[in-house]
Amino acid sequence: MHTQSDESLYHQMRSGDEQALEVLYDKYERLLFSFAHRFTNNDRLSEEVIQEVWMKIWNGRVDFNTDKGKFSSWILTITRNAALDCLRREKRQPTIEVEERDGGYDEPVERTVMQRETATEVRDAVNELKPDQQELIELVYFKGLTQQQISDQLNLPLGTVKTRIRSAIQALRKLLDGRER
Amino acid sequence: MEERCHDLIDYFNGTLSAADRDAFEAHLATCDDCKQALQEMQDLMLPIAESLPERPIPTGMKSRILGEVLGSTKQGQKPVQAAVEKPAVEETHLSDLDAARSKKEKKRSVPLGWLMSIAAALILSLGANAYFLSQDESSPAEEFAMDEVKGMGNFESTTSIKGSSMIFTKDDQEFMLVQLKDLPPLKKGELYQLWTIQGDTPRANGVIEQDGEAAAVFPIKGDGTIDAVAITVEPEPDLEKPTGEVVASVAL
Repeated sequence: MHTQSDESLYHQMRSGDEQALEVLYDKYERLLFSFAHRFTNNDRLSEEVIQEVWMKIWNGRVDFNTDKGKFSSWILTITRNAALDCLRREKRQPTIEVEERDGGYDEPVERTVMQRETATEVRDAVNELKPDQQELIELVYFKGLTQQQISDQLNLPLGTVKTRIRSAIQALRKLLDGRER
Repeated sequence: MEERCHDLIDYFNGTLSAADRDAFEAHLATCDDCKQALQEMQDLMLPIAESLPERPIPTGMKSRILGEVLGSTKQGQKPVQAAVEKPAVEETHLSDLDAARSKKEKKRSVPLGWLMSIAAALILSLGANAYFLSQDESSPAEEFAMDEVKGMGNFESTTSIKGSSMIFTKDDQEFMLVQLKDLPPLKKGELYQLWTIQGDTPRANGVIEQDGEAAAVFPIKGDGTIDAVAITVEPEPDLEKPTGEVVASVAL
C-alpha cells in the first residue's frame, strides 16, 4: 500500500475521515505516549494528555499547516502543551488524588522497575550536558516554568536565563545528533 | 536584547497572557534572534521524543481515546442499536475501532478515570447495552451513567494474567467489569470462572471461555459488598465451589 504523508492524512482526517485519524493515531501512539509520560510519569495522565491532543486536532481547535514545519514537530508541541497544562492542573488538585493515581493501571512491581529504568535512560540522553544545563533543560522543557521562575530558582538575571537556555539547547541538540549517527 | 526577547521562554511554554502573546508574535516577525531561538527549541522536540525509552501502552488506550474523540463531534448521526437478541452477559474481543465506533454514539456522562472509560466503552458495546436500554426506555443512550463505583483494583496473578476489575452500580443493579490480558491457553473443555467473594464465600459470577484478552461486564449475583474477585480454571461453568486453584485475584 502506498504510504501517505502525515500532512495528507491530516487533511483527510480534517475532512472527517475516521480511517485517516486511526492511521495517524497508530503512527504516533508510541511516540506520544513515551513523550507525555516523560512529563507526567503516570500512565493515566499520559493517556488523558493524548486524548486531549487528538480531541483538539479532530475538532479543529488547533490547526496544522505546513508553515508550522513538520507535522511530527507540530503534534509534539501540542502534546507538550497539553502535558504542561495537565501538570499545572494536577498541581492545583488536592492531594487526595495522589492515592488513586498511584493505584492506576500499572502492575505495581513492573511499574517500579520501569520507572527506575526510565529515569536512568532519560537522564542518559541529557546526562552528558553540564549539570546546570541539565537543570535548565528540565525546568524549561519538562516542567514548563516561566522565565521568571527559572531566574528566581537559579538565581540568574532574566537576560542570562535566555542565553543559558539557548546554549543548553544547542549543546543538547549536538548530543542528540551524535546519538542518531 | 529588547525587552520582548525576555518573553521567549514564556511564549514557548504557553504562560503568557493573550495580550503578551500577541505582542510577542508581533515581535517575532521583527526579531531574527528570537525567531531562530524559538525554532531551535521546537526543532529539538522530535529528537528528544525519539530518544526516550518506549513505554508500554495501557491496554485498550486506543479504543478509549478514539471512542472519546469520535464521540466528541459525531453524536446523533446513527441511532443506537439495542442488541436485543444478545444476552446481558457476554465477553468478547473488541477491535479498537469497532469499540470506538460503538461508543461514539453516546455522550459520556461519567466523570472519568481510565477505568470508567473502559467500562463505558464495554457496557455500550457489549450486550449489557440491551440491558440498560430496556431498563430505561424513556431516556435512551445519552442518559447512560454509572451511578456509583463501589471498588476497583488490579488483579494479582500466580500466572501471567494482567488486568483489572471494577464494581459499579447502575439503577440499583451491581455490575462487575473485568478486563484481562495474557490469559494462558485453556485445555479443551476448560474455562475461566470468575468468583465474587464476600467474606470467605465465593460465588460463581461469570465465565470467560477464551484465553488471551477478554473484557466483560457481568451483573453481580446476590446482595452485599463484594470483598474480592477471583479467577479459577474450571471444567464446568458456575460450580457451587471452585475446584481449580486461584490463578488471579483482586481485593476491592
